Amino acid sequence: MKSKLFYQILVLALGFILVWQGLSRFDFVGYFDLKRFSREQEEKIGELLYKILKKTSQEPENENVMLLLDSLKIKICLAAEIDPESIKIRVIEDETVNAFALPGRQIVFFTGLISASDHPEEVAGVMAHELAHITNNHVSKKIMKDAGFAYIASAGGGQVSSEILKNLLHQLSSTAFDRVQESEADKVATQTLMKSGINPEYFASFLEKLSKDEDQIGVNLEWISTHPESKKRADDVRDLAVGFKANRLPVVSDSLWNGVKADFKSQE
Amino acid sequence: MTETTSPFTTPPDDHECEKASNGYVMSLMAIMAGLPFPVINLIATGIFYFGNLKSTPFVRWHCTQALFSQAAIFGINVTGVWWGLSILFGPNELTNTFIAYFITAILFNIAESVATIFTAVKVRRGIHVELWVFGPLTHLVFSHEK
Repeated sequence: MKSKLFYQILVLALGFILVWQGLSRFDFVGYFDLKRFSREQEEKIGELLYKILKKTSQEPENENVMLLLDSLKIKICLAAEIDPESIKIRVIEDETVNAFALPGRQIVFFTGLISASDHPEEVAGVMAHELAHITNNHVSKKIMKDAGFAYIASAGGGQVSSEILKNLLHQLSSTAFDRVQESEADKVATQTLMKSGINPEYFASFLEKLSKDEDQIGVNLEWISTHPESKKRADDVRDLAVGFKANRLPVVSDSLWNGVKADFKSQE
Repeated sequence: MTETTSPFTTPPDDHECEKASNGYVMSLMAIMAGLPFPVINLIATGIFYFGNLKSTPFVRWHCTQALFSQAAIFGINVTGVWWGLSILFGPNELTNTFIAYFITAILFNIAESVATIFTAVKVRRGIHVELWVFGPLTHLVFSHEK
């Protein structure tokens, strides 16, 4: 009886595994283009979120800022082996020190973050970090966590209410990803920076500097408050970058960087 | 699944057949009601099993077989549901392996449902049916009882 039972369990288990593994050989994801479907929905939601953001804020008229961010984007995207055209950089006139990734491969920078940076490499570090959130699908995951079934409904052709979108925008712009995702984004960002010849030390010191500034001057440092444990993260970035020889050339021309800073000063 | 000579000394009466058959019907209904939460199937069948513990050997035997078949499907379904949730809300990606698992789980659920309906109908007529794997397993449990 026991041997019969053992034989039947074995056949059933093997049958299950064989059917499963046999079916796994089919490329369901590729055949039904499931990832493209979700990308299109993400882009749609991303556009809606950016529209909501623009309703309450302004885009700066400072052309140098866009030039700076576009130059950094090209450099970082090429190092990360991503088509720079697929990434949209958005800038919002706001003195809050903040940057975040939105669905639809968008990275939003608040002018406050650029003002708070002493070197363009610091901005590059933040950009590489946010880009890593995009490439590692953290944004889609966060949408699913925060908007959940409302997002699924929208993917099914339904409409997402503006209240849900506002909440989602708030979540994406003012709350961090989970700890594992943050440290993964730091790791990928550090590797991307090194590949592009930018010293990750700038990124590490930016994290440290802002966490110190927060105590001293009490400015609104959203990016740091949403990215806790900055000291430890800075140390981790430094550990990853041990032995790295940075490119001596500046990441953007001094004249462009100085132009951006001068524009901000004149606006103050 | 096989129709075998009944191991029970006395043939079941109509009331027993109905109760034993209900064990399978219960598990089938629970699968439909509890698909998003597979544990509901197991709990429902479990409640029916414990409710019939003091019944005749024929009824208990079939309730036990129904419970075992549910437990196996529960294992398959709960893995699928958690895997799915980890894709939707967690760190996992939608992969061909997951879709293949999902289809396999559906196929096994269908096979189990067909076997359950077949067994319920036969048992209702008083015919003893032993499911593959779960029949010998039930015998093993009952041999310990003796």
